[in-house]
Amino acid sequence: MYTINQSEIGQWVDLLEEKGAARLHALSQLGRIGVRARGHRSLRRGSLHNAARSFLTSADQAQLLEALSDSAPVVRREAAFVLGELGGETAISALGRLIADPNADVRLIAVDALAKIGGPQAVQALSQTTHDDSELVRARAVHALGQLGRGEQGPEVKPIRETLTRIREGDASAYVRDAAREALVALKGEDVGVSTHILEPL
Amino acid sequence: MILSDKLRILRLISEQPFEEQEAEVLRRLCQEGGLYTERMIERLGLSQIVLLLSQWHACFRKSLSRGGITSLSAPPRGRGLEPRPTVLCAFTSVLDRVVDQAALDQLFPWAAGLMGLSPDELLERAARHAMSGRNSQGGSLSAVVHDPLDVVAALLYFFHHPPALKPVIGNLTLRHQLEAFLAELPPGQLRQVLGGASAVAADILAELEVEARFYTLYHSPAQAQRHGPLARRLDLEPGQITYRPAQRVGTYDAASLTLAHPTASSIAFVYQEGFTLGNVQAPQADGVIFRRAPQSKNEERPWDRIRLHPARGQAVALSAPDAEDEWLWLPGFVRWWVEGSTLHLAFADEETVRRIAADHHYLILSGLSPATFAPREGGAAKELAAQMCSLAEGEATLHLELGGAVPEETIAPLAEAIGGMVPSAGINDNELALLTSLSDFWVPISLNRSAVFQRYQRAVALTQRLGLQRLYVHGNDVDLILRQNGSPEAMRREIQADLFAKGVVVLAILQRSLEDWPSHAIQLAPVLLWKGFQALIAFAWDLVDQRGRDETLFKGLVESGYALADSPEGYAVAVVPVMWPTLPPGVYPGGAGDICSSVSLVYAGF
Repeated sequence: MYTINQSEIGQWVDLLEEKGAARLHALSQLGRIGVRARGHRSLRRGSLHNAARSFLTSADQAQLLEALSDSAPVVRREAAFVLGELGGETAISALGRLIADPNADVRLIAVDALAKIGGPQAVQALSQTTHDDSELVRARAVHALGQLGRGEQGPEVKPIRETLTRIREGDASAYVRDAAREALVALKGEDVGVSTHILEPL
Repeated sequence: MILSDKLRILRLISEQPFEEQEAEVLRRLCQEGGLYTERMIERLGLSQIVLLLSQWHACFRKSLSRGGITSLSAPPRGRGLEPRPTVLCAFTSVLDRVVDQAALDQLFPWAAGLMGLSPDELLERAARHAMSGRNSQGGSLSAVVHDPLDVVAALLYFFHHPPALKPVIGNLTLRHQLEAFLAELPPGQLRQVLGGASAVAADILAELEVEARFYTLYHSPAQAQRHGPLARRLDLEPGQITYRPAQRVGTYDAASLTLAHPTASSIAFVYQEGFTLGNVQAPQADGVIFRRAPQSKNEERPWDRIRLHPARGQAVALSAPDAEDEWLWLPGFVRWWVEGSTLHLAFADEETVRRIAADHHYLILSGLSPATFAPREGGAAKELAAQMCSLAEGEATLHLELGGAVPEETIAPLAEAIGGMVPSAGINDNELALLTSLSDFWVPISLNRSAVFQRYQRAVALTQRLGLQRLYVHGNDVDLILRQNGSPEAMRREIQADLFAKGVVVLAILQRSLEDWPSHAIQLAPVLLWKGFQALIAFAWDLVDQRGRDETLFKGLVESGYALADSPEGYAVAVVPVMWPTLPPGVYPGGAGDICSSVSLVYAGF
């Protein structure tokens, strides 16, 4: 079982002040810690958040959020990946802004990160990406909406269902329409797979 | 099962939740990806793994969706044939008797008993043979086995020298001993399935609403009854070609009797990784297939002489096999009949072969290797080469599924027979390595590059040597597809066809092994294999370095799966991570690669 090490995290967070390749490297290493912390359980959600967030000062978190504005798309998307591992309300709003990024790769990683974090705010942000130019981004968002709302019955699910129904009926891409159809099935809780809950952000 | 049901099952497989699969591939690449993956993470970040997995998952889904399949199914144009693709698969059909690990455990005491040796002595001797690669008569263990000791030695040899090839059972005594071994197995330890890439591919294609036919020299009741209802068998009769249902048994007349064709069969010893024979462990899953000549059911054959009729010229006498029930098998379009005490084998003439070609959009020929074209008794190889010329003259797409070679052989007979005539070929990655290591075939390999890139270099060399326009190399990690000057659209379609072919072949393999196969199919385990993505990443960096390019080429290649040629005469290459589920126990995957190759050709739009 991998144990998250505070000094290791600190070492990489300190490097976030750098620019270019060094910053990317630091972000990748933080992301790697998150992946490693998942262990052999192939969980969709990272395990970094519980331990790591308590190790991060607000200054550290600000560094991470600042990386989302880096001029290099590769750095922005790597930062989005790490924030997806870390979770938290602040991350959601920052990632929510990233879904308007001009780079489709960045938007896709942001969608994935929001899907990992979950919660009503993430759902709201994901719903906005269903008009994205990239069918890949739309399909990932649609799938995430189905997963996050799986089995839920409350009023929060109604807008998700409406969004997914609209996409199933009208999206230009058959791939996205198929994803919406499956997401609607998942909403009904018919597919028993990963257990996630809409109202429980990381 | 009708097509729509199969497609529905395919879709269900593709719709399995993918988060777990992606997370596992991400974790493995992150922790065990090696230097190439580390280089990718350093330059493009960890999120690049997520991006490429997203792209490939979408590609996989689209390839198995109804829309994707419809887009692949565009009928070939015209030529007066019916609008759907018309395909002929030749020449292989065989009854595979499959023995798995439980029965293999009994092989060791069986062999020791027959050889009059203690188990320790048997193991020691078999290990010595395996070390040298030689059988008990000094020949190649890969080519022929003569006694039970050779059988054990061949298994040990192939444990460490994959791929397991198909040695011939060299004499009647050993054949009887092996038959007795099979006969004594408890119920359930021996399964009989339809094998031979041509027969199986025709069945699969027919279920996909392709007009699929196959040709094979003999078509016994045991083979016929294992076919589906849709495929047809090409039958050569004097002056005419007929297409009969594959389920109809082949018969011939002899001495006023109508008799059934003999059965071409093999014995396949299949093992999983970690299986031990004696104290030797198999490092990977594989299976050794011991080939046997076609055999009459009643252990007798109604002839004792053979005459071979070339397309032109005088008939020649061939020596008959020693065993009373053995028949001769020849590759090529050959009509045969029994008259008096003579088996006559007549190679179809040019006109007949041209008509066969004209009847089809695709001609897929399996069971061919350098040995097939090596000079042999009666000039049969020359006759086959002449038939290849006639087939190539027509408009049908000619595709050869190539087999491997043993080190003693040379590439020359194959290159001379088909060089520049055959546009498309398929081969297993390990067989590609064997073929491109022959003494008369020197291939410049960059030893400092990854294994998959070296495979690519071998593939390019083979493509050039045989004058191919397309080569499909099937492997366990990635499939490589080379297309001479292939366009982006052509390469995307190749990838889609390959993924689709894998899906339908998985279903066909389940179907032939398990009665309740649909329920197994729906529960199939994850199909995204991290080793495939690791190989794709390694290949992409090596290509970038070879061409002196930057990360743009790398990123494009790992996400799209293809790179275009860098010169007008060069080859575009597709690198497709193998998406293959863990099959339930007892499922025999023999021939899957060759069959995928055939199916993907028809859908690749080549």
